[in-house]
Amino acid sequence: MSRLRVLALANLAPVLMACGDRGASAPAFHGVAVTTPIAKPSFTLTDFNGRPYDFAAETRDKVALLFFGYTHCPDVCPLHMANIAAVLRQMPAEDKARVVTVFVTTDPERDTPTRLREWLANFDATFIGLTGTKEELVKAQQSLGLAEATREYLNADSVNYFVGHAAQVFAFARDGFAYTIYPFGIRQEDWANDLPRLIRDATGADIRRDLAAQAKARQLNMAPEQAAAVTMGGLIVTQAVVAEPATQDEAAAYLTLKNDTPQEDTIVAIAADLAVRGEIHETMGEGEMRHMMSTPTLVIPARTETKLAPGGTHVMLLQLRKKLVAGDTVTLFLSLARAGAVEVRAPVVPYADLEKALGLSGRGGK
Amino acid sequence: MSFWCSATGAAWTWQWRAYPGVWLFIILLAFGMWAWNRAGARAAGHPQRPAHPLFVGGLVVLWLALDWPIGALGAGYLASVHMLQFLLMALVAPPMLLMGPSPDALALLERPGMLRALVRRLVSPFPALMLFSVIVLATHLPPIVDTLMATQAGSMGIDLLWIGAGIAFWWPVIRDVPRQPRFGYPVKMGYIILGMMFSPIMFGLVGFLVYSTTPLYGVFELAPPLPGVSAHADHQLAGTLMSVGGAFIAFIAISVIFFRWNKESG
Repeated sequence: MSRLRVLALANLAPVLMACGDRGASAPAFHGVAVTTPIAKPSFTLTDFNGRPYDFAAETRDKVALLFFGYTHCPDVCPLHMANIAAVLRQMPAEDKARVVTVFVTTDPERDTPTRLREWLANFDATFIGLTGTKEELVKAQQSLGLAEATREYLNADSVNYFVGHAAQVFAFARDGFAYTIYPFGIRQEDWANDLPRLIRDATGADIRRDLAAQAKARQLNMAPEQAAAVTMGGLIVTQAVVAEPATQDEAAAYLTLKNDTPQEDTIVAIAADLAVRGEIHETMGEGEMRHMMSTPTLVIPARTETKLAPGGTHVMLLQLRKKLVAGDTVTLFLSLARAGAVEVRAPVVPYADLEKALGLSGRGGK
Repeated sequence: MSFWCSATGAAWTWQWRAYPGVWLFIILLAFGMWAWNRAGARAAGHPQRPAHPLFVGGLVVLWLALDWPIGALGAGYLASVHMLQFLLMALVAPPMLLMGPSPDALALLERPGMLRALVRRLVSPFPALMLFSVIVLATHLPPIVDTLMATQAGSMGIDLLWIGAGIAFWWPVIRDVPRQPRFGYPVKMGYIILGMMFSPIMFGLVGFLVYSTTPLYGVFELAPPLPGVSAHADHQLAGTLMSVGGAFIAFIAISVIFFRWNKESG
């Protein structure tokens, strides 16, 4: 997939604060609370010294920050690592010793153990890098409900590629459960707020109590059951289809996005596993003057349902990697300024069945 | 192609990018000054003089501050370069640009009219100092920066506010304020000291940038990182630039004023 480009806006803080109230007497958690605490997964991969690393055993009674990424990532991965490292540097040594940061590569071909060690050492020499066979890595991701990471090549004959992967850090408390996850957009001040609380609580009781109090005090933004589909602030994709294209050049994708939050969000990037590029297109003009124009972003207003439908604003998938036929499935990766990374699978349907698939009664639009 | 530099979230590359809005702005500024000078010359019945070299220098400084690479880096990657932009746009370019209008052009501001009266008011010392301080404070507040820098219009708005505030601030120092007594040399020096060297707003901003344990601006903290530059160090450098850079510019200005005063005195 293309790089996850998420613009962090200062008012991400208020969005996070929907998870709690910074102004309240007890500081709220800034991470996104999961509906059901996630048990620490059991997997064994290979660390960058070539030794087996049993994630559950090695991180017992510690706060384990688990992230799936790759070292050639231009933005999300180095930022997460840098921000965690910056906050850990300012913590007392005894607190820092209670935190283990584990980086599992989603790009085992390029992320050799040496590469992993050197790259992670730029942030913190104590960070652990794990690799493994493709099957082992997929299984590790799936243990957390994450989709397998995918590649997006820069162009048809390029050897360079980006890797689409989940953008959130799983923070397992010392009792072995993750009560909060941290999507891209989390800042150092958020880690500085949450990490000490995760470190202090050996049983998870305080965390559960505080999150329950936050939920009671005001509406808590909760991640859905599937943490893999985490969205901050309740923006979800309720419909997604791709129209079967006539050629291999491009295809149109149509989505319905539901924003239940009181704040607008903005789609800043779109990518797909079966296309080199994704763009948002607006249909302009009437009759013979109708034409499509690319627009860099798309605002999803607050408390609305936004339909990207035939005849209106839609997604264009360009430079398809293969000729799409009805029955195929395309994985779309949306980057949103507030919600972060949203992944959705869109079936390819014949053009004649589009309206039915989208539940449209006639020509629709945004 | 983007009209103006803003935070895009894309990884930085050293590949040149065009920002035609910046070029258009510089051209309009140059043309506007020419037109103003022409109107003044015609009104006075004098021949129009060529552009002052310092005005042209001011345009060059503005262009450098707004265009790639400084404009792009400062808009979406590095707080320190954003601060460099502020110094160039608000403190370096404006005094140079203010050498642009001829005495005949300035004389037009003394004519009646609501707009002219407003301009005269805004470039008067006290209102100019207040305007400058308020704009500096507002355009450095994290929620404002993080929100506006994410869009081209917002980023352009901040840039134009800096330029406007800088012109207003420097006007009483560089040119006479229309219909007002000339600002004496000692008062000019005191004005610069108050507005720059001992400004509580600048002090406060510098303090937050340098001493905060976490980066102030999300737009820069969460921008695709440049190799070898941590967000914290970048913010601290921004604070240092504001402090040292601002003091240096003020020192230069005060020195020039002092030596002119000394020369005039005898």
